[in-house]
Amino acid sequence: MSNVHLSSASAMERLAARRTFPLHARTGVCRNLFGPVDHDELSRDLKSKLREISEEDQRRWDYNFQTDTPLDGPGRLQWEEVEGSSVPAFYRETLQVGRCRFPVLLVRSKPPLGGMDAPAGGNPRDSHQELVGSSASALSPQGKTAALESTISGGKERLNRENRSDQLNSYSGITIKAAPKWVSSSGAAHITDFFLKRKRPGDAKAACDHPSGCPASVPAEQTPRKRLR
Amino acid sequence: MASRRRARMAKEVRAQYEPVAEIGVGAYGTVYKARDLQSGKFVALKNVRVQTNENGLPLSTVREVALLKRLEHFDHPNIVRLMDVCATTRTERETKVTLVFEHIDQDLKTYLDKAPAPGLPVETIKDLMRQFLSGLDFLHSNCIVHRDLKPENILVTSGGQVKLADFGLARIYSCQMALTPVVVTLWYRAPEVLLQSTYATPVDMWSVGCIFAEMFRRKPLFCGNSEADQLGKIFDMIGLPAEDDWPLDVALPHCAFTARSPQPVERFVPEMEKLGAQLLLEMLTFNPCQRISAYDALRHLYLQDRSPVDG
Repeated sequence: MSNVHLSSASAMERLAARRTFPLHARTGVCRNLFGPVDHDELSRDLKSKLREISEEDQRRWDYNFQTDTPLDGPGRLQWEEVEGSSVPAFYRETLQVGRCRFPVLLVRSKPPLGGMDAPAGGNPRDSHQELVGSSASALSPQGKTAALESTISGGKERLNRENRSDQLNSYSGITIKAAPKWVSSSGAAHITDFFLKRKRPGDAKAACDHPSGCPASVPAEQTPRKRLR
Repeated sequence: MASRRRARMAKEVRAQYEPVAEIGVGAYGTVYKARDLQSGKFVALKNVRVQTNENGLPLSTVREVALLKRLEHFDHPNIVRLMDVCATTRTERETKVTLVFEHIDQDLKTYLDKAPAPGLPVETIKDLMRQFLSGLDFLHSNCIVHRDLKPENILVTSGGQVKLADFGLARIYSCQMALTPVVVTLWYRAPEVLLQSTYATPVDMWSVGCIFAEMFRRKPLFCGNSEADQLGKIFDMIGLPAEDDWPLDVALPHCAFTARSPQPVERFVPEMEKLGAQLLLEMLTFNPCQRISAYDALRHLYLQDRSPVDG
């Protein structure tokens, strides 16, 4: 409780200060409590700290996480590179955009020798295969398809979220919202288009109509920020 | 005006992502696994490439990784071990988060596929279910809703130990809303998720029910290809729910479905005994508020007739 009083007292103080200096009140930060910041030094410190952490990671696992390669020489860990299809789907690489996750598929100009055990038709229960392809096929007829591919260093192999089941010869992909600024624009297709369209019917009534009697044990997706008033 | 904006958008998109000109045959990338010579245990790396904005790694990702690490302290036997999390920045727009997990050879999907002809013995199913529910009860009591339980996310060690995986790092649910209905596997999704109503821990119990039935059937219970189709297949078994149970805030109205009565479980899962069928129906209850919880399911008579086998 005392905290609340304190903070509201300081807020009052700030308000008073604002009245005295109305121009300053508009800027985000009003006080410089710890003297000038040497941003270059800060950035240098940060970089060296990050390097330190990554070197520690590397030592701990005998693995270079930056280049994604095991270290040479005998270490505590004996690394082995295996086909993604030979391990449970859970371990395969995923791409995360916002709150969505997509499988990363490797596209090769030539079919690889091994590892292509799954038939091209794809198993319908395998959401990993279904995921991108079906969204692409849903988008492309509307002429809204744009590419989302991230490439890795040259060569024949590129990382791609392409589906191999039914879209082999077509160029497909989906656009994904990369930054909040895209949300408002209506031009290119992105997943939020569908979100808005499909969300609308429920939205109007949502929340108020459903005084969920269930034990809501869902973690709050966003913590409301504390504000000083 | 609008077209100009569209053109600008398209340009931005192109600037952001380089199109791949050559589409060949896709395959999963490789995965690194290792044997720890000191402990003799196997680890595997899972890479999650996170798209970042000017603020770096999204706060939600940071929070979720922190949550995963915190859960680790409990060392729950039915949760996959996360040994480490290492982040590296590749480009300005992407941070790679590498999760070092214990390596387990197979998931429940493979395990069921490999099960010999008459299927799994009932005692094995009960043991798997007890472990599965115990892991899930642990997640639920830590306020985590898995949201995407399916046989692929349930790992089974060679010793028959069940370990839940793939929770916490992302919310598949929002993708399912954002993309088209056929995008993600709908077969294990609860009706309230299919209807895009509010949801909580009971969604996982629905998935448990579907997987429980699949352990006997060795093939999925409801294989819909759209939300409506999935719901239709569900109602073919459990009957059309009462209109009072239908959530109010959803697009698909109750009247969109034809009336039908509940069918006996034996028609769908003939191998299941009466008590098991009773538990299954408590999991496959349309109203999430009336659906059985993981905690209560663990104490259901069906799973009580033998003490849990240590995995």
